[in-house]
Amino acid sequence: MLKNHEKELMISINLFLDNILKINNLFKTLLQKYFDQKFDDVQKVTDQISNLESECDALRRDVERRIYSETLIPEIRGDVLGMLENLDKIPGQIQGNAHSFNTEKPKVDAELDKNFLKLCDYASECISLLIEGARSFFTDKNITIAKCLEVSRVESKADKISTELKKTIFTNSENGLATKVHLKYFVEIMDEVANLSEDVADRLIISSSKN
Amino acid sequence: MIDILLIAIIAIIIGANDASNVFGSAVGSKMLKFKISVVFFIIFIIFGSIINAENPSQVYGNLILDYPDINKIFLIIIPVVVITIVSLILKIPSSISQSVIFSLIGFSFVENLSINFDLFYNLIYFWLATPFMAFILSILFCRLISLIFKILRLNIFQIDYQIRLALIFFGCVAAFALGAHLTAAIVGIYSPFLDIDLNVLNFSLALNDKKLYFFASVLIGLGAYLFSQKIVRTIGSQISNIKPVPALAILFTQIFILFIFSSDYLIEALNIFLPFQIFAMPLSASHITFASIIGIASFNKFREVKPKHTIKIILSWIIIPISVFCCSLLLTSIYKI
Repeated sequence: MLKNHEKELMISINLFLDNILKINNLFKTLLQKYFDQKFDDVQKVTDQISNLESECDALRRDVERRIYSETLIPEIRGDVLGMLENLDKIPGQIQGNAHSFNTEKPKVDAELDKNFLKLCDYASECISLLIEGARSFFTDKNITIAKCLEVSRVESKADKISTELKKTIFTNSENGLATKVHLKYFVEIMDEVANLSEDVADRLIISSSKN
Repeated sequence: MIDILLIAIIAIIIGANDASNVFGSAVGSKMLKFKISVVFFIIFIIFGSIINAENPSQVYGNLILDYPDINKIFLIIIPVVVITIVSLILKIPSSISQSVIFSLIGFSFVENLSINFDLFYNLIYFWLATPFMAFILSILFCRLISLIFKILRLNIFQIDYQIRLALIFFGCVAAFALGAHLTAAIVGIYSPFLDIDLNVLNFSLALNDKKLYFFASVLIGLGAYLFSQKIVRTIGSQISNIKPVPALAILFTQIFILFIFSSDYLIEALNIFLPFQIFAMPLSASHITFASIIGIASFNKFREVKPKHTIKIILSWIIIPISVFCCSLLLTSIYKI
């Protein structure tokens, strides 16, 4: 009739959030290995990211099923499920980015390496802040709001780097248009991680203010 | 025989309606199954009525100094049944205890019975005061519960679990407290006749006060079991819209007020400290619930309150007693002719 599921659920949710952080860190490693041209390692990291992403999906589905079947937290169920589903888009995006680097192997000029890593750092910071905010959503909504507002600030920095990267790519006269468009695509998919984080953070701010 | 039938009708109506005041939030938010909540409701309403109904029931005997003949009690109950059914059709919560008192006053006017007006005025004061008490207490309880959860730093799943447990436990306590008031409202009017010998279809039935309270509370339970499912779900979902913490605060407010005006021990204890004297009396759980909801709504500057509906309910608190009084006056006058 009445079971205490909170411990199991919080463990699952924390595991889900930890996995997103792990994927986030792995992508940074992947990028570094890619620029060092260690393609075997890139393959390994991509596989690791894929496995963790599948684990995230399974955890999210399990948590959602349990919240619904046990009719838990009725008043904020929609917000929690929305948050989990939106957060799950981030590992999906990172997994896609990892596969793109692994399969398409874009020709990144040495002068772009630094800014690519910087963009990755900002996107990664956005995710870390978002995960902290998401974790606090279950205990202290004021912290959630503060962290999510910080996500927007960092995302702006990511946008600036992204614009700078695109400018550098298109001002390079040595590369052909195909290479330029190809590199621009990689800048955009990396920036997309920061954009997704900002979108989820915005939703979280609304959910936290509402509750 | 007609008395038993009228008691049964009122008890079943009350059971159908008042189960929602106690377990509405738990069932409506799907925290508890309806059948389980009804079992809890029946058990605790019976306990509450047998243990505490005697105290608020005494009000009826003390209000009319030369109490009416038992054969004429049906004249007091018929207007109550009629007005309660009309208010149910109009979807307005009504207080049976207030209706019975006003019907008794109307009856006494025609029959020239001596009324204890001091007690009557005191009842009016407390009936007017309880919604204000409920309004303030619901706000205080809501703040207190939120503060406790904040201090304990529980996560939302822990809070959810604690609220589920609390809604069930305090729902049972509220049913216990409500048992005394509901039973007093239904059969309290018979309290001066502690030992009644009724002849029902050639069976001689000796009723004492405990049997009477048990009989009424079982009928309330039957009403809850048979007819309250839809009302519990509807009211419950309305309450759950206010979220579980305020629902718990409303339940605490009900328990607090209902116990204060039914438990001898609490009344004696409080009368030592209070500048005025309180006494056991039947109160309306619907009025307490309504005032508590308005109290909770004050957190959002009453934005969620429907003004038309609210004014209709508040007006009904004046119109229903007057209507019952007039009906009783009319019916007794016709009967006398």
